[in-house]
Amino acid sequence: MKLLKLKVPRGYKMLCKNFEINFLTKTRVNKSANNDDLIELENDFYYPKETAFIGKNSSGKSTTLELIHICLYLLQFGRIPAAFFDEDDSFSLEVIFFEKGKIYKYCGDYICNKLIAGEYLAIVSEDLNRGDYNSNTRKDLSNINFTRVKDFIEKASPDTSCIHKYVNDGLTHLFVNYFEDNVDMFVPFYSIIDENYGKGSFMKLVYLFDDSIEKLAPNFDKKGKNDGFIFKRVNWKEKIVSDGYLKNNLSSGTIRGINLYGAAIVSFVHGSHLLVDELEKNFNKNLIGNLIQMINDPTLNKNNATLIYTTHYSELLDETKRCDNVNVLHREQDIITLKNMCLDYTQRTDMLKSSSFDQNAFDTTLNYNRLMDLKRMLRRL
Amino acid sequence: MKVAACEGKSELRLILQLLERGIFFAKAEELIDDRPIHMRQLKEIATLINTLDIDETIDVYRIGDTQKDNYDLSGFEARKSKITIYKVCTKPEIEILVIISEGLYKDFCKKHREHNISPKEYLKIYVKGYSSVEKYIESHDIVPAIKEYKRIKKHKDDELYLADLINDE
Repeated sequence: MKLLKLKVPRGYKMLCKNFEINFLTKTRVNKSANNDDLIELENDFYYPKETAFIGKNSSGKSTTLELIHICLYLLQFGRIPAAFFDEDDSFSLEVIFFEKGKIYKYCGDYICNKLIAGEYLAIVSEDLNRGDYNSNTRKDLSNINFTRVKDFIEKASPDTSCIHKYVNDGLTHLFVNYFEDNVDMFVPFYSIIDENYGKGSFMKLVYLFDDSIEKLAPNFDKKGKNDGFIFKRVNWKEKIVSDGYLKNNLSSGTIRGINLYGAAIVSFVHGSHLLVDELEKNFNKNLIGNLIQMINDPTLNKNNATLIYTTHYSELLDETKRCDNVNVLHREQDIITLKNMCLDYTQRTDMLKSSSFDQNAFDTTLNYNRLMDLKRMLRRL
Repeated sequence: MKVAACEGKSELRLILQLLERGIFFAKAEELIDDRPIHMRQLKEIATLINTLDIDETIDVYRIGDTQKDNYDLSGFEARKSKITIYKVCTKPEIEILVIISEGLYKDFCKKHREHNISPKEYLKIYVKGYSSVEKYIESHDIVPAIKEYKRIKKHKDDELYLADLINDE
């Protein structure tokens, strides 16, 4: 499944009305070039393996990623967690996704009413349409002839949509920030990685970040229930340790590294979307650059996993060859809008994206006047 | 936006004094960072410049002595067309203003021809109590010397004089 486009007609948090993200390529693809960074969903129908969101602080990057998470969560589980909303909030969305050769358009209206739906939003109305891609399809998908999916049961339950039945992937996405600082995902990562890549594969990941660890594996009790980890450092005795011990004794960089790369590997297995807010956080450029290269390497990323990330680190943008997959977020007072680096800005082809970014070509640096207001206040003392 | 880029501490002190007296051609708030800045290359304030809107016009007044080199504008490619550099020279050294102020310009020219002496060396030898331009301008009005300098010296066409940055009091 690939999320092609999403639109929020009434806005979400500070996102503007009709806030829209189009994940597809927007410019011509040179077929004779190396297009390892693209997925060809259909003939001439391309999808970038990376999508980046940039913008200054509080421009809406995290909100946007959260919205993508909500959409992907809906496609996987048929539900929208109420935790992202206030009581009585209403929420509408249009999601266009690609699944097994078909393009689906889901429209849903929801309301946050804990009495009706508890932990999830209550469905007010919903609709599912299906269409086909053909050579005349516009890059914004605006001319697809959608027809209603007849067997789609609307409001099958107050809080759960049947939409998830049309998404066959076991895992639509992983949002790394939800587990990046703890060891909760080590057990599923261990199981999935060792199961798919062979025994001992998870340790290769651990060893990449901390070569003093000889053994790190989930410990299971007699009933087969997970009970801490088997842990051994070089020259130390092997011991059974708790999650808390592991969290306190591994460096935060190691935990985050295992979580980020582990999530990427699991995404390779499932061909899912990998969501990371502030990709550069706590990592050096090389570590992130190598992750992006792995995403774009078809010999590693065999099931077309995609990376959707936000960043403040301009040099990361140079790791991606294209610019139509880089989106710039802006907030004016309480309205957040999105622009595309390729469509909405005049790009100098002789300049690195990072250089344009650093020179404020996308209005992403601090605001001079506000900075000076602060400096003047400090100078008055 | 204007940048008052001072190549030395003396130039910086001098521009600050002109600003304080209200005779500098720009107000402090018209200057980037509200002040003249001591720098050898524009790159030194790139992070501040890059908080300006990409379309903002930037006039850089590079205030120094003899300026044979040009600024390295790599890193400003996206806004290069909006940046204009004005060379504001005081040749051969800023100390020449003190010599003019002391009425010693003719004597200096003679000594310079005979011994190839620099303004700085001349001041140390022939002006009792002189220590630095910064100290000198604390107790002397240097503006008449700046204006006299423009009257007696001839610059290249693309070079401004300090006097060009002064409004009449």
